[in-house]
Formats: sequence, C-alpha cells, structure tokens
Amino acid sequence: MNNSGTESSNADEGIAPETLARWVSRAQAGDEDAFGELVKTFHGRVFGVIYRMVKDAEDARELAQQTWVKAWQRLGSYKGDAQFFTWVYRIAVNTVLDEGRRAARRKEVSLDEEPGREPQAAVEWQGPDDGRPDRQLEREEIRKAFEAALDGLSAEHRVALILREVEGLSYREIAQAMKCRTGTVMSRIFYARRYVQERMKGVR
Amino acid sequence: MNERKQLEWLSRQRDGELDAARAARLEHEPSATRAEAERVWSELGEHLRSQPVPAPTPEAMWNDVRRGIRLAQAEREPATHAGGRWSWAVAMVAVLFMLAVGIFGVRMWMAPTVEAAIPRVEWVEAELPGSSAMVYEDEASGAVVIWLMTPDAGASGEELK
Repeated sequence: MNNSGTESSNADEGIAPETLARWVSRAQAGDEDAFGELVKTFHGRVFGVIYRMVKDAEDARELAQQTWVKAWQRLGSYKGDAQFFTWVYRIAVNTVLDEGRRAARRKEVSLDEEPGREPQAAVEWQGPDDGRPDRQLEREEIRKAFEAALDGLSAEHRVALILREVEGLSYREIAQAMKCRTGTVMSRIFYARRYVQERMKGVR
Repeated sequence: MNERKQLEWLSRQRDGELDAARAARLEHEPSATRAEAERVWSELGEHLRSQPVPAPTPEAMWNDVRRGIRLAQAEREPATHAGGRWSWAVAMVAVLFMLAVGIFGVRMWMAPTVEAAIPRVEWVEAELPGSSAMVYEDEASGAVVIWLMTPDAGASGEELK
C-alpha cells in the first residue's frame, strides 16, 4: 500500500524536477509544446481522479479536457508554491465539484427526469479469482456494496479518500488540492472510512 | 481512550500521519473494533485502486486539450472583435459630440449678445432753442427715458437760464 504519508507523493512520473520546472516555465511563456509535455506526463493521474469521481469515461474525458484548458489559461497564476500536479489536481477537483453542482441544479429543475436511472457501473470487478462461481458472486456482491457505500458519500469526502488511497497524496497535498485545512482532510478521510465501514456491515 | 478516538488515530496511522508517540500508545490500547476497521478500510483501499481506468492515450488526451485551447481562443476572439467594433463606434460618437460642442460654442461666441442687440441712446439733440436733454434708464420699467427741458418750463426753466 502506498502509505507515503507525510512524504511527498511520487506523482512526477519519474520526470526530473528540473525538467518539470523547465516545461512549466516554458509553458508559462506561451510554449504550447512544453505544456503538451506536462499534459502527457500527468494526464493519466488527472483522468483517473476524475473518472473515479464521475464514473463515466466520456464525462471524465470532457472534464479532463476542461481541466487542462483551464490550467493552460491560468498558468500565469502558478507561482510554484505547491507542486505542479497538486496545482492541476486542484483545478480538476474544482472542475468536477462545479460540474456536480451544476448537474444537481439541472436535476432540480428537470421536470421530466429519467426515473430509476442507476449510475453507470465503473468497471467490471477483476480481482483475483479462483474460478469458483460462488466466490465470483461474493466478490461481485462486495464490489457492489462498496460502490453503493461510496455513492452515499459527498463529493468532497470521496475526493479526499481517492486522493489519499489511490493517488497516495499526503494530507498536506490533499489540503492544497482541495483548498482546505489538513485537519479538514483528516476528518473527511476518517468520516469516509467510518461511513463505508458502517455500510459494509452485514455484507459478508 | 474512547473507541472513536482510537479509530481516528488508526485512520491517521494508515496514512502515515500519526506521530510515533501516539502510534505507540495506540498499539497498547485494547480494542474490539480496530481489527474490523482495519480489514474493511484495507479492502476499501484495494477496491478503489483495483478499478481499471479507461484513460485515453497521452497523445489522444493532448489532442483533446489542444482542440479545447483552440476552441477557447476562438470563442474569445469574436468577443474581442465585437469589443473592437464597439470601441470604434464609441470613439466616433465621442468625436462627433466634441465637434458639435465646438461648433455650437463658436457660434455662441460669435453671435451678438442680447444686451448688445438693444439700441442704446447716449446722446439726444433737440432743435428747441435753449433746451437741454437728459437720457437715463428707468430702473423700475427698464425703459430709456429722454428728458427734455426748455427755457419756458417754469421755475426750473428759469433756473436753467
């Protein structure tokens, strides 16, 4: 498990810091190719965070595009006080949360909402399998239970949990990405875990 | 230490955010629910990490982004052009206004004033022998009064002799 904790997460994809700084500097000067290098380096992680939030590949791709376009437009405001990927995560998180709020408003005003539409299942479970149908069923049941529990969390709690569990960001980095205090990050992650734990009772 | 506090510390410990002293204290605390929490949280992490992400290739993503940048620029440009047209229109109106004010001012400056337009009487010549004339403006009515005194006008006329 990636419990890097207080240490900075290894999100620079093996790129030397000076190379990264050079790309950022050139991109800030208007060099689109340098910005392209940054996109290609971090797009997988940015897309991953967004996808885990929205659970739809097309939506995630569109939101990822919006995130990077915003990043390009706001590059001048990046002062290097946080790591570049944290700065981009912040834009991604805000983009997803804003879209979520807009979608909620659309849902409120929609009079002919499609009834009983379930959120699209993220992926098929592909965990280790010994080939037994009863084991497969059990895994599927657990997967669904986790998904249902995660769906019950607020977007803020889910983002904090994903940034910690999947991206391995420290509380400080998550706080920078979510523009909140580290104490808030700590309590959000703890609440999310407790909530899921409660919802998972009786699943097995 | 109550159970909630234990689990809170456990959560921080999992994330490497609990200091050594507290971690040591946590280890010695008896707990009925810690093992269960650890198991479920561990599975939760595994569940999140095991989800395959259908990410586009780096090139495809960069193409998306480049297209998005072009689109954003194109959306901005018509607005700039429209703004340019408006600023030209505003400038033209301002120039015309200044011109109109200038012309009006010059015309006003060149036009004779009301005071100047009123005929002034400064001197009157009477053909009556020995008479004298006095011209003044009556303050009450604003009319110009021509006062003519002749020698046979009585006491005053004698005075004038």
